[in-house]
Amino acid sequence: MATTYAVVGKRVPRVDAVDKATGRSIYGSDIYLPGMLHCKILSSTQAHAKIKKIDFSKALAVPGVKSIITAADVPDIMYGTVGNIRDRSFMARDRVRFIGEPVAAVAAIDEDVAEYAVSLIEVEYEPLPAVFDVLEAMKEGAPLVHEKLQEYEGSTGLRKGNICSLLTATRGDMDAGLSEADFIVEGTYRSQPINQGYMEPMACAAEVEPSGRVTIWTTTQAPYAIRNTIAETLQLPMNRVKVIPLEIGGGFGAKLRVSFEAFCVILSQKTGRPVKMISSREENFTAIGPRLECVATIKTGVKKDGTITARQVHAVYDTGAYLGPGVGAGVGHSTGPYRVPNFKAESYAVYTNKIWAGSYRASGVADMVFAVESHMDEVAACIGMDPFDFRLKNILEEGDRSLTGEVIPTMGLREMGEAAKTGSNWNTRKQEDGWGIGVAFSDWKSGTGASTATVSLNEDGTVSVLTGTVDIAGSDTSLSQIVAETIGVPFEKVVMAKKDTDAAPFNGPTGGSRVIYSAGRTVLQAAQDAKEKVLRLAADVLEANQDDLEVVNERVQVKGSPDKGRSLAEIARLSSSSKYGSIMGQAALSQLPFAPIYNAVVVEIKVDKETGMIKVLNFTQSQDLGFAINPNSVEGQMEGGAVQAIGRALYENFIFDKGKPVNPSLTTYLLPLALDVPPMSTIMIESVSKEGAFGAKAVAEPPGFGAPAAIANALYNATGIRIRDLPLSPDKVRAALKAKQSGS
Amino acid sequence: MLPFEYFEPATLRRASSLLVKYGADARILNGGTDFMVRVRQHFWKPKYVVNIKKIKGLDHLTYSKNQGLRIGATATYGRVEADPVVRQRFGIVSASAVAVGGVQIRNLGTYIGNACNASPAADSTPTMVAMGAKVKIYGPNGARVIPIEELFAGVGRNTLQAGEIVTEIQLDTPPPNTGFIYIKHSPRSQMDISVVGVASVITLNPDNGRCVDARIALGAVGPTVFRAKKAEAILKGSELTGDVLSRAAIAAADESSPIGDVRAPAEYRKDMVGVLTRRATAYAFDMAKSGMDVRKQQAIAIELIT
Amino acid sequence: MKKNFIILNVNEEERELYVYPHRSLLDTVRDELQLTGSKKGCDEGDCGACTMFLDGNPVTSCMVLAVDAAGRRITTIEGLSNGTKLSPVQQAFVEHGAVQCGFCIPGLIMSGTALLTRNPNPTEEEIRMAISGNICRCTGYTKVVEAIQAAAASYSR
Ligand SMILES: Cc1cc2nc3c(=O)[nH]c(=O)nc-3n(C[C@H](O)[C@H](O)[C@H](O)COP(=O)(O)OP(=O)(O)OC[C@H]3O[C@@H](n4cnc5c(N)ncnc54)[C@H](O)[C@@H]3O)c2cc1C
Ligand code: FES
Ligand code: FES
Repeated sequence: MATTYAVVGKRVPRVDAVDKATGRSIYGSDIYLPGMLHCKILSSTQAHAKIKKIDFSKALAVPGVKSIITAADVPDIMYGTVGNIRDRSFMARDRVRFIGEPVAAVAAIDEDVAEYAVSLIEVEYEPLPAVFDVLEAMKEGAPLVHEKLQEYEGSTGLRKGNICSLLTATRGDMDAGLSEADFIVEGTYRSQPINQGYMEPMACAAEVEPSGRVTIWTTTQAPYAIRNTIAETLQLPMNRVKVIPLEIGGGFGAKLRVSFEAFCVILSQKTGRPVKMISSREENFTAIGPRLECVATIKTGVKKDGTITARQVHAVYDTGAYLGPGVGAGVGHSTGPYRVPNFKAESYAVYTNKIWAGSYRASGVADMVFAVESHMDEVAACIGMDPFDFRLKNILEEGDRSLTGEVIPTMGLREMGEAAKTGSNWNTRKQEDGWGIGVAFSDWKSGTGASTATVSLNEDGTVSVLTGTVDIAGSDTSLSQIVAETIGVPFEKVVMAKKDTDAAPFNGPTGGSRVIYSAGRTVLQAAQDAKEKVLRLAADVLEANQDDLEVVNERVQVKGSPDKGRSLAEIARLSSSSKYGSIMGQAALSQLPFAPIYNAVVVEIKVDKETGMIKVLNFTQSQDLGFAINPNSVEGQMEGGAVQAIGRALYENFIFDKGKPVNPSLTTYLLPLALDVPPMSTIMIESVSKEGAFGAKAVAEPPGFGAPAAIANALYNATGIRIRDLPLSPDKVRAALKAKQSGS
Repeated sequence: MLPFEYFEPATLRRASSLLVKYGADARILNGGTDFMVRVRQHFWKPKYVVNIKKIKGLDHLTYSKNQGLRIGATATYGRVEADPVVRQRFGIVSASAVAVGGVQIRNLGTYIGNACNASPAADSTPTMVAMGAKVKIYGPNGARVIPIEELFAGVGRNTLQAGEIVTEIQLDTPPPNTGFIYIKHSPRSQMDISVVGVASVITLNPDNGRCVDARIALGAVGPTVFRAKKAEAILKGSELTGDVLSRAAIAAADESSPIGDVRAPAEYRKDMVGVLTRRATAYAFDMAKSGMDVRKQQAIAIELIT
Repeated sequence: MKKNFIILNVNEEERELYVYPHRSLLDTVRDELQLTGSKKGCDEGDCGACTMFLDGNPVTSCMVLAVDAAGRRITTIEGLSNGTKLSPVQQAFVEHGAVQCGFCIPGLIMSGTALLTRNPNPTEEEIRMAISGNICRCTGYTKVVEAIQAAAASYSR
């Protein structure tokens, strides 16, 4: 782009980096309040059972134990994990539906006492028939996870047996499309349960004042969602619940909703003391919703020349004991960034007796990308076409319609694909045994939703910004850059105010790659508003026409006569006694237009055919992201997402045995380490959006999508074996290779 | 964690008498890297904890031509790994240290803790077993020295009697023309419990190039770390042709009796015993032939884990 | 339950404390000394967020009993910076965009510092090896490795 900017597009250090590098930042577990008590949870040991009796008399008698609560202490108000069906409450009432479901909570003078007390609580269960496999659970006659499903508030597409949601979409005439095809390819793909693996376990504290006002400190991506859920379910007015979001030690979706805050609030109500809860790593596996299995069957019709004529998709998401997010992706991401003229998709969410499905990096999408992009290679193989060319032949173009009906605006999908091809070794393949290369494309749309911002100019010319949007991936830095650029001050002169839910009105959560696009546009408008007010006042003061003014070096001056001007500080000082009042810009936005983003991943691997081990040799990624407000942050997101996806491809797998988590620990649930990471090359395609600040779209989600399919495709390229279920573990690869050998 | 009473005896004698006095309620604390995990999980519930790290003279690391290498009970992996003499003379010992945990764990954990913990998947013991290490044990009835594999009684069980404390590992200087390697096989590069571990030590007759001694120890594929004696017998006295290596590999796989778990199915593990025995033995054979230098050995060891 | 009297030498300051023998060094330093820069990501030795130096060597402090650390030289992330002046590794992490959520960062900075103190000219592989006891879920490690490489310049000088 020809435009040159002073602040945006620059690699400025993150505003929070020094505090984090020195250990000064305050996360959930770093809150210490005078007189505070510690909370520990007792969770269910049964996958499905009636609670006959809870006896906590022994626990209550332990010196130092101040209060114990069960469902009886929680108002009987259900809430929903996605907001559309109210199927759960904070604590198991009468019945437990998964191993790990909270049954009771203890407040005691320290963690050891609380832990000991928890071990003394006796719960009598009456086991009920349970169902664990998602396909079993769909069958007629399977044990019902929710007997009263039909009575729950909220709407879903379908409620039948354990099916709690169904989404469908059609376009054109699928049967006609299939009959036009020269070949029809079909495959079923499974992705495994995944834990988000954020490094900071959930931690929070709550204090209830005698007046009833509640303050909650917590590590969260969504302070307003926590406030609202707590207020609704505990029957408190929203303005009496203040949520103070602390530094977030990683969330990736897991910190989008209430975790243990309600227990701290209720225990604080009962004891009159602040209550803190630091969860264990294990609880972050067993009590905080991970992603669960997804089984997707895809059938595609294709012509000999590589034109896709039709597709049919049937996706089933295991949602565990309570309805979580993700099922929409089974429809919305079933075509990928390709033209599919005739199409039919259905996507089910099904209950099982496992922990509820939570959010993780665009819930449900990564599963579909694995299915669709593995399938694309299978289709390409069927017609003998290069997988890259096959993709490029079918990609969406400007003016096409997305699955949800939006018109595709100007975007850089083709450019992104070409860049990934030339930026990798796609055209210079090695002939070594075991060497393979694979590609995967994916798409996402820049997230929208409510954002507000206030930008004020202080009397010394510095700028303060208030927004309710919390920073998880460096957004405070990028938002500061946007404000600095817009007003015309150096980056250092902008400070983001500390946030809490009392200080700013409702803001959507930090999730779904919405912050830079939505909050970015919001602070941009608020900064423009502030600047407009600066110019309006300066015009009066300088007796000039507002249109003739410009801001240069923190001064408002008349274009062409730079000596005629006032510093921003002077304007700010004059403003408070002016007829307009102090300089404050504001903006509040909700929905923004459709701004899709695209990602391509090319992975080179080496397969050890004797051990089945896959080593990733090179990782090339390109993404159409509009404009990189802070290239450091963008690359950081892309690299981090890619490594998570490599883990998901190769070994991450949250395993259940009859509903019991088998590996709820970082010892056995393996996250990638520095030595597991290949050289990364990240290519940023800046195809600017008309809507986002300085053309910025989103970044965060898509880098986490492509790797599993790209690696599965590279494995096929290297060995001719196709593995359709994740992870691509050495034993699976070895077994497939052996089967192939003995078959041929 | 559940509470316990804590002791820091200054002598072996005092430590031993505490252990005798409290019997099954007592547990030795060494580097603590198994201890802390097990106690926190309530898997071990000691009422009395005896820290042996304050006992003088237990952290020695010495080498002499006649006595070989002596690793004291409380000498950490970190110390052994960094020791220039060990690197020079016992490349396999320092190289096998990098198979355990990460840097922070190696600065706490000990070879002897690994052996006493008697996990079949222990990463430092196959090397010790294959090298023919002995352990010296202090006890109420004086000291005794046993081959290290006699410490292992079963999964997580050792043969120590009440009041006994292992005080050192003893390793003889390997004969010339010896090559050795430990291969740790796990999906993740580091900090991962082995799916299979294979240590192979090969000594050649320089005159005819035949194998005069072969020792192969297997980890994670039986209730304890153990020697694949049938495989060793095939190698001993033979010329190490591809065919001989393959036969030894098959024998080793036959001797293993792995279980299946989250990490890998039993069948895969058995399969890998064969593959890795052949690889480890081929590496060791090469080293024995060419007298590979220490740096190269270490480079191979690191390459093998990444 | 009986508490033991210990003297902890943390960041060159001696602190007298009564602690239960089963308390970890990590919990003690955080809760009793309010030095909360060291983080608890797992309490199982797996994540490295709690890394401190014990007599100069990096260890996972969740794997150490406070009573066992008595009398030894303990350094935490708070001990690396000198007043408001960051150490070279801290500075490099800030400048190279190696800090995201930050939860793993104190531990990574401790591991990076320990490496450079011993080996001022590490290869990329040695850096990756030195930090493989630290899990970072956000960064993908690329910028972390670059930061340590950049900081090496000020050690090897
Ligand atoms: C994060 C992490 C990663 C790990 N990775 C690996 C790995 O990759 N490979 C691997 O093999 N292990 C691994 N371990 C396990 C552990 O680090 C090793 O087993 C280590 O060698 C144990 O030594 P220690 O000194 O810490 O033992 P401790 O925990 O102190 O003791 C272990 C057991 O041995 C007993 N004991 C210790 N010393 C003596 C003695 N002198 N006499 C008699 N009994 C004694 C103790 O009572 C206890 O029962 C890991 C552990 C952690 C926490
Ligand atoms: S908290 Fe110590 S290693 Fe994770
Ligand atoms: S920066 Fe978040 S875990 Fe490393």
